[in-house]
Amino acid sequence: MKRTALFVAIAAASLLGAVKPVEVGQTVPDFHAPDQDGVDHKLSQYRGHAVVLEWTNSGCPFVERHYSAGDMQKLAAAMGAKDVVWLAVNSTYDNTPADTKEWMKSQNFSYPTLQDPDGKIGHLMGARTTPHMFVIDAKGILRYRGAIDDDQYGRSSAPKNYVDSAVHALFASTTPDPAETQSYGCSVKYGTN
Amino acid sequence: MPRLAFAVLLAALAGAARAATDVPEGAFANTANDRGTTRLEGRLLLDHDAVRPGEILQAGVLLTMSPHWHVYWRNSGQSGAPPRLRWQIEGAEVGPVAWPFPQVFREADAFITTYGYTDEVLLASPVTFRSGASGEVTVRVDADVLVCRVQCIPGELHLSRPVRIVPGGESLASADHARFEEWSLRVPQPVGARELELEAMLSQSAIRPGDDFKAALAVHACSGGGEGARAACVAVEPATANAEDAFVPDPPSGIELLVTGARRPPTPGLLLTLKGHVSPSAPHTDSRLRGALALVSGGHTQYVEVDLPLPRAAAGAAVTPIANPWLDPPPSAASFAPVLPLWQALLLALLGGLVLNLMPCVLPVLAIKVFGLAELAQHGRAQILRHGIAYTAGVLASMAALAATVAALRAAGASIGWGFQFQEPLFVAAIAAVLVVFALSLFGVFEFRLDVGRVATAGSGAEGLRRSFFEGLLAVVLATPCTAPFLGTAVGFAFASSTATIAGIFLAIGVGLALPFLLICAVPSWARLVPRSGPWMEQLRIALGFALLATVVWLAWILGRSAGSDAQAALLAYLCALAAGVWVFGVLQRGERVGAIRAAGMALIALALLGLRALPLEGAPAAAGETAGKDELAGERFSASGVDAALARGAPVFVYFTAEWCLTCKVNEHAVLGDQRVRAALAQSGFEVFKGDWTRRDGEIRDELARFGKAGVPLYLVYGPKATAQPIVLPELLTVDLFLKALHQAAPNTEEKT
Repeated sequence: MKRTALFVAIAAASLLGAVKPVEVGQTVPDFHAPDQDGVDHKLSQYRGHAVVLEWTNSGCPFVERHYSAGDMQKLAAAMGAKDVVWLAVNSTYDNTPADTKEWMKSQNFSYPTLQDPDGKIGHLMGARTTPHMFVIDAKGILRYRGAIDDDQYGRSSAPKNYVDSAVHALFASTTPDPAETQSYGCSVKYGTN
Repeated sequence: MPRLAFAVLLAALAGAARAATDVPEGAFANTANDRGTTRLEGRLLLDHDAVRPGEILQAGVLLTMSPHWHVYWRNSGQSGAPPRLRWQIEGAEVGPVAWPFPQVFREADAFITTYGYTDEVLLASPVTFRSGASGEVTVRVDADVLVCRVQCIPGELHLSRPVRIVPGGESLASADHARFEEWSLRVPQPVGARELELEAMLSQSAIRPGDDFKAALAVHACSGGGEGARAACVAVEPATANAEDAFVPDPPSGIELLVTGARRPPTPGLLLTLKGHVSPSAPHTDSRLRGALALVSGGHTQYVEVDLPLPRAAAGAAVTPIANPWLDPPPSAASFAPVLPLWQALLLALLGGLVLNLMPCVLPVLAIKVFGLAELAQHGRAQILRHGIAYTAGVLASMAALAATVAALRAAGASIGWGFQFQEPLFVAAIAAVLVVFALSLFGVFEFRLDVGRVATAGSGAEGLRRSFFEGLLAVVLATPCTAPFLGTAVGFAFASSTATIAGIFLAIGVGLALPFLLICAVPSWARLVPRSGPWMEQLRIALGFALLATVVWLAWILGRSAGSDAQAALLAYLCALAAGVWVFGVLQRGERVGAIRAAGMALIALALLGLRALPLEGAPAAAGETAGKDELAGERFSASGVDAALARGAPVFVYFTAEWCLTCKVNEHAVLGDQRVRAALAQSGFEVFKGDWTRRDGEIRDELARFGKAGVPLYLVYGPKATAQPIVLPELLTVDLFLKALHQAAPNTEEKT
C-alpha cells in the first residue's frame, strides 16, 4: 500500500516535473490542498486578498532559524492584520499532518499549513528551497518569488525582508522591487525514487 | 595493469595520509552537529610559515565533509548557500576566494540543480602584508558553511594560527605548500593564456527583464585558418563524466541559467546549450556571462573561467530574435559518449576479451583447445607452452589484421563497426567453409598435413603448432559477432580514435581472449587441471565437430537472411561439395603417395576458393515479412526522426539494435525481449518499439551506435517521461528483471513486478 502511494507520488512528480513553473507576472493556476486539519484550501477562494505562500519544512535549520527567532510568526501576524492571507506549504515527502500540528504547537502559530507531500504545488510554483516565498496579488498574479530576506547567514542586524517590501509595494500599487530573488536554504525534500 | 593498480593504490594511500594534516591548536574545528556527529571539519592552512611584506601568502580553509555530505560553490545553484569566509588579518589585504571547479548535484529528478564539493575542498585566498608589518601576526577566519546531504546543517568555524612576517628576511614555504599548488590546478583560469576560443550565442540580440531565453557556449581549440586555409583544430572533450556538467554557470543576480545539454559543433569542439530566465526586476545594465569550464584538450585537463558579454536591454525594448538551431539541446539524447581515458579503454578491452571466451561463439574453439591440451599432456611443458604461444600469436595476428582492415576501411570512408565482416556474405560463406573443413578433421575424415606418414601424435611438431596458430585465428573470427560486455564500450572508443588506439584496443582484446589458454599452458599447476587423455577423447573430438557444424547452421541462416534462400541453398551445395572433396583427400591421405596427396591438397584448396568466388551471394534478401521471426519483438524500423517524433508525442520508447549475425543479440531477444512479462510491460505502458537491424550496413544505425560510444550491436535504449533527454542504456547481457526495472525507471507507471 505504502509502495503504491510512493509509486503514484513518483509518477505524479515526474509528470509535473515537465510543467514549467509559474513566472512572476503570470496568473497562478488554481490549486487546492488540505491543511493539517484536513480543511481544503483553494487558491481561488482567496481572490480579492493578497496571498503569501511560505515553503516550509520543520527539519530545515533555515526554517527553524526564522521560527525560533519568531520572525516568521511576527511577519505573518502583521500581514494578517492587513488582510493578507498567509499559507505555509509543506512539500516534504514524508511529512504528516501530525508532524505539522506538533510543529505549529511548538512554534506557537496557527496559520494553515497546506499538505503537499507529492510536491504537486511545489512543482507548480517552482519551490526549490525552504523557506521559499511567493507573493500573489488580489487578482491571482504572482508578484514576488524568492528569498524571505537578504540575510542567508543569519548574521545581519537589520535584514531587508523581501516579502514585507513586496506586500507594501502591492498596497502602494507599485511593482515589487526586487520581484525575484535567489532563495536560499535547504532544498525542498521532494519524493524521488 | 597490476602496476597501474599499484599506482592507484599508492595515490589513494598518499591521499589518505595527506588528509590527516596536523595543524596548530586553534586552526582546527568540527562543526555542523548532526545528532552527535559533526559533519564538517575545518582546518586553516597557510602555504608559508614565514613571508615578507608584499609577497603573497596563500591562506585557505580546508573543508572536510563526512562521506556523501557536500558544501556549495560560489553559486550554490537553485538551493543551498555558498560558504562565506571572513578573514581578519592585521596589516594585510585579502583577495577573493579561488573557487576550485565544482561538481553538479541534481535533486528531485533534476528539479533542483546545485553546485558544490564532496569529500574535501580547499578555499584559498591570497593575502598580502603591507610594508610595516612584522613579527608574528595572527591569521584569523570566521566561516559560515552550509553542509548538506538530504538535510542541511549550517556550520560555523572560527579558526586562527600565527604566521611570521620577516621584512628583509627569507620567506619559508610550509608543509602544506604542495597542497595549495595541487588545489590551484583545479581553479579555473581566464582563457587568455590558453589556446581556446570561447563564444557565447544567444537566442536574441539582448535579454530583457522577464525574458526566457536560450543560449549556448561554444568552445573551439583551433589555430590558423582563414581564407582557403584549413584551421588546425584539436578535439575538445568535456572533463566531466557527464558532458553537460563541464560548464557550471555563475550568472549575474536576477538571471537563472541552467545547462540543458552538450553537443558537438560542426568544427572540432564542444557546445554547451543553456536556458535562462531574467527576473522582471533584474537591472538591465550590460552584464557578463560567467562560469567555469572543465575541458580536456590536447591530452590535458584544464579549467577555464568563462567571462563573456551578455547584452541586456530594458523591459519592452525592441530586440531581434536570432534563429540558431545550435542553441537547442541535442535532439533525443546526450550526443556525448562518456569520455574514457585510454588506460580504462585498454583495461575494458582486456576484460572484454577474457569474457569473450565464455560467449557461445568462442566456447567451442576454447573447448577444442583444452581438449588438444589433454592430448599434449604427455609432452614436455616446453612443448605445451609453445602451443600456448602459437595460439596467442594466431589471436594477435588476426586482431592486428582486423585493426588494419578497420583502419583502412575507415580511411576509405566506409561506415563500418564491430562485426562488420559479418555484413559481408562472402565472408560468412568462407567462415562456414572453414568450419566444415575443421569439423571434418575432428571427425577424422582427414588430417591437416600435406606430407607422408602419420604424425605420431597430433600436436607435436611444426604442423601442430601451425594448427594452434590457426585455431587462434578461428577464435577471433568467431568472437567478433559476440560483443561481450565491456567490449562494446572499449571498441566504441577505439572506432572513434586514432589508428594507433584502434590497434592498441584490438590487441588488448586479443590478449584477453588468448589469456586463459595461455595461462593453462604456462602455469604448470593449471595444466594439471586438464583431464588425462583417454579413449573418451575420441568421442569428445567428434562431439565438438558437431558443435562446429551447429555454428555452420547459424552462418547459413545469417546468409539466408541477408542474401536470400537461393544464396543459402548455393552455400549449402558448395559446403556439401567441399565436404566430399575433403573426404576424397582424406582417402588419398591414407595412401602413401606423396605426389598424389600434395596435388590433391592443392587442387582442393584451389577448387574451394574458386567455388567460393562463384557463389551467387548477391541475391535478394528475404522480403520484410519473411525476415520477421515469429517470436521477434515487433518494432518500427529505427530512424532518429521516428524516435524523436514518438518522444515528442510523449510516448515512452524502447529502441533495440540487433543483427542476425549477433548471437548475443539473439540470445537477449529470445530470453528477455520474448518474455511474456516483458511484452506485457511494454504494451501496458504504451511503449513504442523501434528496431534497428544492422545485419547489413546502415549509416544511420552506425551513427546512433557511435553516439552511445558503441561500434557494434547489441544496444538497448529506454526512453521515458523520466528519461527523455538521456535514455537508459541497458547492458549488453539482459535479464528480465533488469529490463523491467529499466522500463519502470523510465516510465514509472510500468509495474516492476507482475
